[in-house]
Amino acid sequence: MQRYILVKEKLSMRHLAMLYKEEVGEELLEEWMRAREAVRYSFLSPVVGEVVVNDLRLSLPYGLSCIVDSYGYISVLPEPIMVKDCIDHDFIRYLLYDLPKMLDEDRRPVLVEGFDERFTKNAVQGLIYAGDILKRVGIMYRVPVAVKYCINTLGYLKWVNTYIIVKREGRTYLQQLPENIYFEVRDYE
Amino acid sequence: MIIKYLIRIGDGCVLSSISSNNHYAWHIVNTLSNLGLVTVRRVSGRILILPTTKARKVLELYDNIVSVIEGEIGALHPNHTHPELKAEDTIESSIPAEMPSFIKGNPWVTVLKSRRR
Repeated sequence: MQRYILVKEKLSMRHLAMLYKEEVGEELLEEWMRAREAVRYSFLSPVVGEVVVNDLRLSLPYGLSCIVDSYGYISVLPEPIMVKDCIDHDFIRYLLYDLPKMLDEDRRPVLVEGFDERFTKNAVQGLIYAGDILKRVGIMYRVPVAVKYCINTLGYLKWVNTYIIVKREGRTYLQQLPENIYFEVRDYE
Repeated sequence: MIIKYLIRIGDGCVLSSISSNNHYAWHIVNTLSNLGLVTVRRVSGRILILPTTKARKVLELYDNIVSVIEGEIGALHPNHTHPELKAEDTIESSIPAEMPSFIKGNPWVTVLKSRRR
């Protein structure tokens, strides 16, 4: 049974507890503390997804993972929640408010495309903050959150797993980090 | 390796207790025998490997060394005990209540009460 707290709108306990004290503000501090206490030991069973490249399937654990694939090989199963194509404040609001609401209704993997093109200003701070929100979403709802990303230079974001498509000497490989394992991808013409 | 097999032999054992590979077992026994650490006896068709007094002294010295090392570790790390069972992880251990320092002052931080569409 999903329990809700009515603030300015209906928020689930899990949703409210996912937020930082500073994000909630003084006004809702009491409700937030109640929500944190309510979900303190309440862990949902993890949703495990799959990273699929042709006939290759690797498990995608819950938490924040990174996909580096400029060739469009990788897809995620089961059908993920695709994060809406929005930028700047709309993107942050979507991650903080709309995405958790969708997960309250239906827990599925989450896929964020074009993660590094979501900010028109203060991009580095934006990516750090958005990455942190997605990490919290993954942990609180125990769903895999995959971020499609071109470069991985931000040391602040800790990925559970990273999947990279690598082309070498005419062959295609799927590299999985941190284990650093290479899987050969068979191309079907 | 010598200590490992002396511990395995203990107060005496049959050849197959040293290794299921008969050839390898004989190699070990011959090595230990050449060092004067074991003797081989055949008792009613079975091959018994028995430790010598020298072997018992070697094991005694080994036990002393181990206890000294354990004592040293204990002195260096007084809290070095078996890890205790921890209470179940909580949300706090994964998602802290307060914002981490690397986000504080971030211009994108949104406060729920100021949410406007």
